[in-house]
Amino acid sequence: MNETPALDIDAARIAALAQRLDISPRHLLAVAARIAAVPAEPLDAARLHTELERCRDAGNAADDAAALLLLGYGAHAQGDLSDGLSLVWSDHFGEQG
Amino acid sequence: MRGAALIVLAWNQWPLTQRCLDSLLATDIDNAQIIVVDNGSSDETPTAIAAYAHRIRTLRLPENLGFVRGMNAGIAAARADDDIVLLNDDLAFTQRDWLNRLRDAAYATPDTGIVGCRQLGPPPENHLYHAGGFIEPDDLWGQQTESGRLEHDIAQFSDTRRVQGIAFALAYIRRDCLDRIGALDPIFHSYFEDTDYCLRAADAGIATVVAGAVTLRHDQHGSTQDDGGFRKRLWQASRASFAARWQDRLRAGYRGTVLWQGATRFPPAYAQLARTVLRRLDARGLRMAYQPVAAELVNPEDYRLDLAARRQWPQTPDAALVCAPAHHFDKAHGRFRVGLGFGEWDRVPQRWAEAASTLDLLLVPDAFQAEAFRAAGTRAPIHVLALGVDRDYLHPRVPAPRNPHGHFVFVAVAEELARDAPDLLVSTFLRTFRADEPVELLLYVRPGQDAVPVTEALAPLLAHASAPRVRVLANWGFPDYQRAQLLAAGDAYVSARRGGGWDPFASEAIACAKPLIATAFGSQHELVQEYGHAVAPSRLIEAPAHAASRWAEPDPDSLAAQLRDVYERRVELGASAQARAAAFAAQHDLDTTADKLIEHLEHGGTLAQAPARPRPHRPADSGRPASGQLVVLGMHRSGTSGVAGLLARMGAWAGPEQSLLIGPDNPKGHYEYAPLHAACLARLAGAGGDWAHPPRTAPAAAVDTFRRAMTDVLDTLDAKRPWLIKEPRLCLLARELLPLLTRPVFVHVVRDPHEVADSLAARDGLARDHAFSLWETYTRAAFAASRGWQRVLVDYAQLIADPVGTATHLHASLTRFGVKGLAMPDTATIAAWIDPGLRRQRTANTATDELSSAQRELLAAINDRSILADDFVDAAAARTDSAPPAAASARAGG
Repeated sequence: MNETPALDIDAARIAALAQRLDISPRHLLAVAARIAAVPAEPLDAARLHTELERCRDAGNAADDAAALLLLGYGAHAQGDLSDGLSLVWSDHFGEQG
Repeated sequence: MRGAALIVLAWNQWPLTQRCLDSLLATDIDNAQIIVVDNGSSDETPTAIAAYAHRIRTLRLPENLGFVRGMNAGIAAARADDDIVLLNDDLAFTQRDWLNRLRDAAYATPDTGIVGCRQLGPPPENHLYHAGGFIEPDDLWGQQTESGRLEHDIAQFSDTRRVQGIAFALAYIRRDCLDRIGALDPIFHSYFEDTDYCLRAADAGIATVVAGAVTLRHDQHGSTQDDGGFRKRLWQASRASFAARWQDRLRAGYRGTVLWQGATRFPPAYAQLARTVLRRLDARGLRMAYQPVAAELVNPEDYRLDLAARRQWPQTPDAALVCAPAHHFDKAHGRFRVGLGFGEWDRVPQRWAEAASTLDLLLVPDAFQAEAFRAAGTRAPIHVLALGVDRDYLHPRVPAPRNPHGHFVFVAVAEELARDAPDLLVSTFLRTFRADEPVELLLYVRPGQDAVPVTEALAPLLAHASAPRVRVLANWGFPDYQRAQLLAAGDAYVSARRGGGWDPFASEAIACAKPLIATAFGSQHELVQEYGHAVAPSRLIEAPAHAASRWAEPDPDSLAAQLRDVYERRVELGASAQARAAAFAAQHDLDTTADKLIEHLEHGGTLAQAPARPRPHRPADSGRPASGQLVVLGMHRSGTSGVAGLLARMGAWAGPEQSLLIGPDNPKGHYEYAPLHAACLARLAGAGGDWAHPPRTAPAAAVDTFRRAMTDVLDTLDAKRPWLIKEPRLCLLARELLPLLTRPVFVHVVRDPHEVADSLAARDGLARDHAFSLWETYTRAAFAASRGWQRVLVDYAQLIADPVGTATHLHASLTRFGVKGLAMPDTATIAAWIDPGLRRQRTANTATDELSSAQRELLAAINDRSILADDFVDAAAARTDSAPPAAASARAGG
């Protein structure tokens, strides 16, 4: 039985696909996330086009959402530093050795 | 004696008023008079307040006249010469010495007229509600802090600083300001009257400041809650009145539109500049608009940034400032295109140099960066713009959680794995310290695209159970204004960066009194060599992403040695870091950066001229005559007794005769009132000094005790005006008396410093250098205190040479100032008093070569009388920071 190896998902591949679909790479990530969020719905051309249009319409919001994925929640969700310091100095947190 | 009227405006809400009064009466209000203006309350206020009748004065208005007319009624009821303090009844007085600290700020400079304070919201949040703010012409939405953000109290804005306006929930208004500006403008019912007042004062050259040493609690709008929209209607009506008067003027005050093209999140160093510098430029008269150079999540919490991002800009802005990595420089969009940036390498990438070459001007933080751009062939003019520290937020008093075990903590920050070398730092730390040593490394991994690679690289290093303590704080974003808390949580800052880009934490650590360890390369090279502990680079290596560009590999052994050294000498180094922090911050001030940046932007010729500033206010401008309080100021052995005696013969009262001092060094009398003399002695002793060793600091408790003692002195003297006070130590202390004096006249007595030195040598055996130094200190402090007030100078040599002529001039001056009750003594009386024999120390050689250059400058300013000029700037005093702390910390905040 032949088994098709999984393709590596790298930046160049995403960029190339995004170019073909006429959206930004970050928008493509958002499209992928939306598709993954509703796995029961079949992925056909019509749905793909719908999702692509939604992302194009979302503009910066889709970009922002992708930035959140890329940079992590800590880059956007803010807590007080004093809470972070208290946490890091609590027993066992972050302590190595 | 002059005091202050504390005017509390109450309208219903008795529990709030009661809390306000109870807390107020528990503070040090000394000779202040409390006036409660009951603005037609219909609750229990009128009856309940009767219980306070023995401590306060109540003024009951028949109906609610609003904030402005209510406060104006209180102002009208105050004693005629008192300063005024307007107080909302939703304040809680949580600081006992609040009034004296406001007074310190009010009289630190002659042009100050209005003083506010820091105001905190209720616990547990303790948000900083107010620290002095601004209003912009776009939507006239007044902000109560410089950024408009709601921040927790981390001791930000704790210096005295100038602001555009303050909220009149608390406002200390000097009487001479009130004399010129008048009461609040009744075209406002409530709201906007405060900003209007501050702007009208600014037009008259009167400064508004916030006393950072005072923090009170304020339950904002507590007095108008649950009002069915009443407050909103008041606000809208007052806003319309304010707009009619000020909106066009505020718009016209801008010199042009500058488009800041940059980032507010990433990269963090550029985002920090956007947050801290953009608002300073706007406050200095540039209409700032903002455009991100790359997609970013906008954070609307910062009002200034948000406003700049919302603003429209002309098709071609007057200037563009691209503050971003240099490959964005070719996006500059303006009539004058300026870039501000830096690289990590000895030579920036070619693409950067090409983009920079499209600019009209490239600004870089230091010579290293200039050379890195030049080396890559940048053709635009390159100037250095030193990037300073935001002193409003970064200083040694920032509170932060400390290590619970009392361990010594090195703080480090990692943002990019290759550039910051956190793995090298951690591995070096682990081999430098034993597990049983009380030392830790706190590594903050900044959220961003390298956060995961950084933590992954550290994981294997931290897997050994017996290793010393390394604590990693990752994936924790925090508001940038809390940056200083990261440094405050530790004992030293360490950076093992390979990259040579500007690291704001390096200079900020020094400003926060933390020893600095950093790689001696790039933008940190000179800084760490001069102020820190330099880690030697082992070699220059090619940067991963830019083959032709090199950065520095820090030598692990050198890093280990510095870590060990800083830890072993932690007590000594901590003390020296504390000692130099304030001076460093003053020399590396972000406000100076903003001023210099504007000078660079002006070079394009696209900005309008800065509007002419009004002449700074002087207390003598109030137009009211002197009240008959004469303060004789002069260095010891300068002839102050002679001049005081002359004034006494003109009719000025020196105090009850039995209380005047007579000593062997002045058998004819000092004209020093004994309680005054005792108060001065106690004041200097209370600060750890004496007349020959003037203290460098002015502890609040000593100042307050002095003022209390002087209250009794002045009350006694006020029974008989005109009066005089004379005590050489007053040269050092006169500024502290200003809130208690009513339109005084200062009589400066000056004498050649050589004669002073001779006299001190004869009387006290003082060395000449010491004597000259004292003469300089006393003289500078005396003239600084009297600046802007009515004053006259008497030269002791002239007094001896021509007693009658000098007395005539003195009498004429005092009469011209409005002092009543003085009569010119007859010639025989003067001759009998001013005996040439008094001039015991005559110095044939008055060559100035014994004096320092600063002392020579001072003597020259006295001799040509330029020291009395309104615009005289005591440059040496500024250099040596010899002014009292309250004055020294006053600085422009926009």
